[in-house]
Amino acid sequence: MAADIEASAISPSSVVDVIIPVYRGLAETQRCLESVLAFPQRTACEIVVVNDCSPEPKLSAWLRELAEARAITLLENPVNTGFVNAVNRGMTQHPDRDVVLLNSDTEVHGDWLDRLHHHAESDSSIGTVTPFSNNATICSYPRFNQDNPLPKDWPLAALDRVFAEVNAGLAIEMPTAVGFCMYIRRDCLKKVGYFDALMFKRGYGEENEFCLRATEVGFKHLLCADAFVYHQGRVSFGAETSALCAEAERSILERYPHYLGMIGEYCTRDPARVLRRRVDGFRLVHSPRPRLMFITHTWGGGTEKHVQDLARILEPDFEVLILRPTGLDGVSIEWGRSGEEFIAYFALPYAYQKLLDFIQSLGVARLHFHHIIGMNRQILQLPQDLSLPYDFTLHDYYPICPQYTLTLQDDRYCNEPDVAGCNACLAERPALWGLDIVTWRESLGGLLTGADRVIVASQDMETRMRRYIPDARYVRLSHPEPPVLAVPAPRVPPCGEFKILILGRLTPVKGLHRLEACAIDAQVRGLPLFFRVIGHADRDVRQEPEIPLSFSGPYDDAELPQLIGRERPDLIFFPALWPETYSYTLSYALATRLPIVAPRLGAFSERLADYPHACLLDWDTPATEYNDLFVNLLERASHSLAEAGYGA
Amino acid sequence: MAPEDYLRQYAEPLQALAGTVSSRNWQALALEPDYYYPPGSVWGSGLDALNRTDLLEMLQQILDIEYPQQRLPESVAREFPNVLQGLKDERAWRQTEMERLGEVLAQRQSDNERLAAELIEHQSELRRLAVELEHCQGESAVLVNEASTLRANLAELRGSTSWRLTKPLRWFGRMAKTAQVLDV
Repeated sequence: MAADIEASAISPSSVVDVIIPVYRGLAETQRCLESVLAFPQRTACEIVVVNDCSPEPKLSAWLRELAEARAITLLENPVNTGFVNAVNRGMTQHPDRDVVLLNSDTEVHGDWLDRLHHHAESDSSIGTVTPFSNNATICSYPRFNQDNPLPKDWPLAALDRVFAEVNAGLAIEMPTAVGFCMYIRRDCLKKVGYFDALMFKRGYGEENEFCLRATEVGFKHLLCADAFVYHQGRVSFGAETSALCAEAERSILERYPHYLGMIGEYCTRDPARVLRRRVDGFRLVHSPRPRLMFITHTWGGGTEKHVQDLARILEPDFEVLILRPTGLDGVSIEWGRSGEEFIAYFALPYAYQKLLDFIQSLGVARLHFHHIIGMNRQILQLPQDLSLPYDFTLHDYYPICPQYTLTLQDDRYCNEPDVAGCNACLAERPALWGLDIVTWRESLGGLLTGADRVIVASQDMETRMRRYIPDARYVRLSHPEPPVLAVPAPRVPPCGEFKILILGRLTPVKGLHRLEACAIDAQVRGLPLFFRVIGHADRDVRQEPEIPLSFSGPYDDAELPQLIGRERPDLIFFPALWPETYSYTLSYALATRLPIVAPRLGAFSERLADYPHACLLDWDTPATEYNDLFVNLLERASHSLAEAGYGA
Repeated sequence: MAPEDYLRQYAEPLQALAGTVSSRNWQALALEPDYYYPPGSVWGSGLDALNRTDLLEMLQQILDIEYPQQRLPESVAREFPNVLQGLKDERAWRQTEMERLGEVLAQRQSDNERLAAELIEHQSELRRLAVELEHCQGESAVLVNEASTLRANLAELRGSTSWRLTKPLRWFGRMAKTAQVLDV
């Protein structure tokens, strides 16, 4: 190719050198160079590969073959000089040409170079141009500032074509280029100089420092929005990458203390978001999968877990969009597919028509309500205004109780009083939209009876709901959960004190105060009981050393089996004061085969019906009786162990 | 429930949705930039970002919601440039007002600082006077003590035997002094 250029009438300064420094990674380098060679460009270019004394003989041999075939110009360093020196050597090869620095673990597609060149030539004040990539910090797609895999079903060629179409001719200014694929105009190199090999010999940060110098003399850095280059990342430096990045950041900050603030301001403003959203929109409308829209709250907990679990298992066959309340009265719609970032915000009531148009443009075929707490009332009109069928999964009792847990102000089960009792409760804690209990149940009851399916996770819940809204089409479907592997909770001979384990985040309705009362009673009566919570409390309570109660703090669900095993508990206790509708933590408790004590209320009764080590008490049993039961159960278990030869 | 069992039951009525995707018009899905940023974010550049179509649409939406029976009349639509200019004028006025209030605030802050300095001075004077008062109160207490000691001494003297025995002598003494005065 070099010889072709020399032989042609093209002015040397209009040729672009594509500089590819190579050190290791034969497969990645082959993919990179093959992609560069596969797509001829209108822009005259020469591929300059700098082999920085690669330790892989096969890689060096392959590069020599390409050079002999005149496909590339090969510069070989006799000793390893470091990434930055290798790049600088490439840039000095032809001192009149623009350059593109291309990492050897990238892949390009189509007329990628022409598009970069077009933006570079659009203004003499432009210093550098960087395309979008899957793994390029502030140029990353789909998720900003993340190392993304390529989106499912969207290989490089397809994705690059989308960028080229939806963002044709678009670019925005950035504070710095990103070095994986960086077009640098020769004017800029001449005024700013090369990369600082003394400070950044091994790579990472050198392009940022170069861009800061270029900015100081008036050059701009563009994000080329109509090109996408794949970047694998971390090939040459592997595990050292993080340390090199940290070192580079320290070096830059010493010289440019404003650097982080400048990057932070850009990230907050994120002007490239609009460009990413255009590509998201294209991919969404071109997905062959039917669209479902979930409607839920922002309170997390079991509802959010279910929404996320369901979105994951539906991913292969459906596109799931999730609508949530946002801000004072608005809603947001996000793409529920893992690895996606798409989210749009609608200020209600003014943007309601826009919201309807958007949902219709998405081609949503079915709605699925999970929760409506905190939602603008207009959202209840969506099925009617969009003429869409819908399901409703009940995660609590919100459609019949605005307090949603069937509890009174003292956080104890209300025993479901009559209308007057409910209105008295609402007088103390008013319902959303200021409705009385009859209007509330009529309003939300209408939504439930209009649903194709009202999905409930337990018979207990269905029975309670039928008392108030008998005409809804209830379907009993327990929550989807992968089987919990047997939790390793080895039984050990008691050492004088029994450990009672409680799982999950504890609120008053989940029995926080009952638990505290049990611990206080154990302290007062000198009972050999210690209460340990894997999770945290949502308010201050007394703890050890004052009373025998402690909390581990927040945890990830995936860690729960290990955390339970590590605690070596004697018994698991659910102190809830409301009729739970499912209880995810109970699934983990069941896998331990340990004794479980729970209230005879809500889903516990049926979920523990066949469990041989369950003990159910009336929900309003006092703490002292719970403690008596614990001591009895554990002493009996202790005797059994002693008889089995574990005795002290 | 195992996820695959759940999926089978959940998705059963959704089979009819296969092949429902028809629109491939991505432009219809493209929203104005403001829709991609959370409420209150720094993206919006206010009126300068509004074009005629946006503003007309927004006005129409407000009318639809606030006054459903009304439609934006053509005459109002033709008045649009004036409406926009009016809004820009109002913004300029508000900007000026903000600057004026900024100046007032600066003046108030300056007064505040002056008054704070005076307050510190007065508090210092107050502390000095308090110390002086305490000193005076101390001296006064000493004098009161001395006075009561002297009163006690006097009472003791007047009650003593020698004082009583010499009473006639003091009487004669006073009389002699009185006679001398009369003689003169």
